[in-house]
Amino acid sequence: MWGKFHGLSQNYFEIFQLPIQYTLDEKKLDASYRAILSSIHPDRFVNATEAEKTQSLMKSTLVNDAYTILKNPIQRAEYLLEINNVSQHVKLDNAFLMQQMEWEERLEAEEDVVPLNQFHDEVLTDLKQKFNHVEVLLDHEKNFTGVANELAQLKFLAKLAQKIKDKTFLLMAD
Amino acid sequence: MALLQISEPGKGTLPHQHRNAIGIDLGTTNSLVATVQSGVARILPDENHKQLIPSVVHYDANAIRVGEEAVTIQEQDPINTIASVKRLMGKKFTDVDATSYPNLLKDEGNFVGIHTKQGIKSAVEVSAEILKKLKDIAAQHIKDDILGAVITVPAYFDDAQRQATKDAAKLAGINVLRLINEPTAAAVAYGLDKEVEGHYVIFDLGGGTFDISILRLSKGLFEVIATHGDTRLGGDDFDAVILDWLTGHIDTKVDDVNARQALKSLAKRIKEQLTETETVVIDHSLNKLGHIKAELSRDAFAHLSAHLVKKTVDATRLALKDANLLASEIDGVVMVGGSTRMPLIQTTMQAFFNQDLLNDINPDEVVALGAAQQANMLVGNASDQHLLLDVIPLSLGIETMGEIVERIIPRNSTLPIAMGQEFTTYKDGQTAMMIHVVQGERDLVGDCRSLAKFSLKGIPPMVAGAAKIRVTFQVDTDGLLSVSAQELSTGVQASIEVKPSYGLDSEQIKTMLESSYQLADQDKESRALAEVRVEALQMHDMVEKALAQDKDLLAAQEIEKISVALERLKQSLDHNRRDEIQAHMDQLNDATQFFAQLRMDRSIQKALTGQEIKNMEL
Repeated sequence: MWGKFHGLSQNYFEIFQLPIQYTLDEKKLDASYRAILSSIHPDRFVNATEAEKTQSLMKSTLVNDAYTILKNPIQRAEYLLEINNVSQHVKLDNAFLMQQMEWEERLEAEEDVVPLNQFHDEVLTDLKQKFNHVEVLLDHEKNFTGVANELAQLKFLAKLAQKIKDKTFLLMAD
Repeated sequence: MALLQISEPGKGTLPHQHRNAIGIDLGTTNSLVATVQSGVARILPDENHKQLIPSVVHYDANAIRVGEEAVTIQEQDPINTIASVKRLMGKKFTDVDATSYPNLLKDEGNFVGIHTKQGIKSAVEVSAEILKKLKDIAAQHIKDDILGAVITVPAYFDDAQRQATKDAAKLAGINVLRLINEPTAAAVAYGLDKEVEGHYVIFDLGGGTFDISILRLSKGLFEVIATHGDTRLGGDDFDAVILDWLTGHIDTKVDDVNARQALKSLAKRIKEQLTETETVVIDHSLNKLGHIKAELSRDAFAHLSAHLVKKTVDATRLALKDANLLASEIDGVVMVGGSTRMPLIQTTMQAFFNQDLLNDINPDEVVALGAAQQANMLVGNASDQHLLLDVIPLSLGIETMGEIVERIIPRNSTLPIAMGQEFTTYKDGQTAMMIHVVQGERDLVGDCRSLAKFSLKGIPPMVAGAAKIRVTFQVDTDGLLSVSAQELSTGVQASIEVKPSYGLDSEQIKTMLESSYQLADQDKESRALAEVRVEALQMHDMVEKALAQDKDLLAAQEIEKISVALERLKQSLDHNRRDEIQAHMDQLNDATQFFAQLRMDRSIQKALTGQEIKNMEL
């Protein structure tokens, strides 16, 4: 299980001793992340040689990067596509593009917190469904091309959810 | 200068040897220095038993006064007295409201020049004077060598401001162990890192700056998840509100400097009294200005300063939003900075978070105390080795076509962090290009702060678009940026020339350092030699120890390589030539890179195994 970490080319999942799959043992990721950083963070090398300081900085940087990517469900899926050499560039289908416009118009029109919250909940439900679908596609069906399409939609929905939240926040602040 | 020398090799590494380190709160209004002695952090007072050292510096023709001494002379000689120099750190003349300073400020290109009787001074040099004073205070209390200092900076300080702080420490002859954010230091002082899990708000309203941060603490790990603030909000603004109100009660125009100063002090006293009592009655004679008779209640003061309080509440909301948290999800609110003594602030925050505030450590001292604890941990004294993870406060980006910013490292990313970006040439045979790095959240270059311009040179000539230059932006744990570049198809390392948009370049720092020694060339040389010898001995010692521990990781050939480098370094010490010793240190460093990698991997492996054992026990 223990790979060649020192080459900086180790798989991000392997760094944390996690299986290479979409389903994530988040507790284990967190615990491993903390354990690793506690041992190699530059703060631990205040009285060390330059070589050790450099290595500590490089490895901590890599571990932070790997952690950030695995922790984020969209980036984790993208990373799985990347290591399987699948392109993430897809054309969104027309139906989704139409739906996109409808959503944007709705966001524009809503001026109250309550319907915005409802809108937000709807988008979250959609997101959840898509995440489940991504999990099935990646871990069970190994349908990587299908994932690329779902991911493109997911990213839009995630941004939309954030926009709704931002608008709600502004309304509440007034 | 004996203060910050590295201790003798071997001596410092004995298991029970206490190593000295200090924490410094380099504030806009006041500065403090603290250390941990017998396990307890305490503020080190100056010779007059004062703990708060005013961040004020006075330049006379042949003397420099710092602190209280400078304050006493401030009124007589305002033009040569510099206060609030922290506001000028990492700034250009065009960033600064020159009219708010009694000093003569001058545009020096990358930095603001301050006219003094000793010539033009930079903010870095002035801050170095304050740091020297703090270092001297520490030396009066700590007899042995001090290994270094943790210096605190506001959480939202950008790269230029952090670099300026580090440069000031260098000029003052202080070895910076780490720059940490002020709110983080405050949380450390409250021991929040030790046992508590949860989300904490650090509300820091000082004399001149306001800073709100949200920290997430879990299992000894300490993350700053959001920061907001205002470099121009603090106790002084509340004084100004009362000053305006006072002026409204005077018929004559206040145009005299001394009279205005007297009114200012009165305003400050009224503010402080309102912390103790509900209402302050003013019945005061002000020489030329006549007699003031008025009354100010807490409610009236709240009304007058509502716009200031609103700013703090707004920033608090923004920070919560960034952290994706509701006020009700906050487990504790730490009050930092003298201005949080104001009941107005206390009640507002208590109501906002609907809970009692953490305010039992002196809010003026809490940051320095936390910094001292962190310094103590970094040099290896503390038995409890918690880890403090910080984030980058502002996004880093680069300028692209049409003056649009492309974000490379988003704000609040955990440090250290690096991001790579690929660039290509747009002309046949192009061998150089310019990269402009900015910091900030806005989309247009002009709305962000320009950090530096990098010119990439030595790109192998190819047709347009063929060269792929990978530029790596690395931000270290102090939040400081470094950049490297490589042409991917040929592997040519492009050389980078940094032109910082702000602050001093390394040549200027070098010149200042050299002139600050004020020693004869020969003395300089022998001092430098002594320093490099100590460093070499220490390095030799560390590598030997590492070999003894982890030799099994290496092939015989590798061990041989390191042993030879070790031996050569030792021999070079006999020749007493600085450049030779330095060269052999560099060689030993190269020889041990791979070994250091393997050792790092072993630590990781050990940590993960330990983790597994812990899980099995559960």
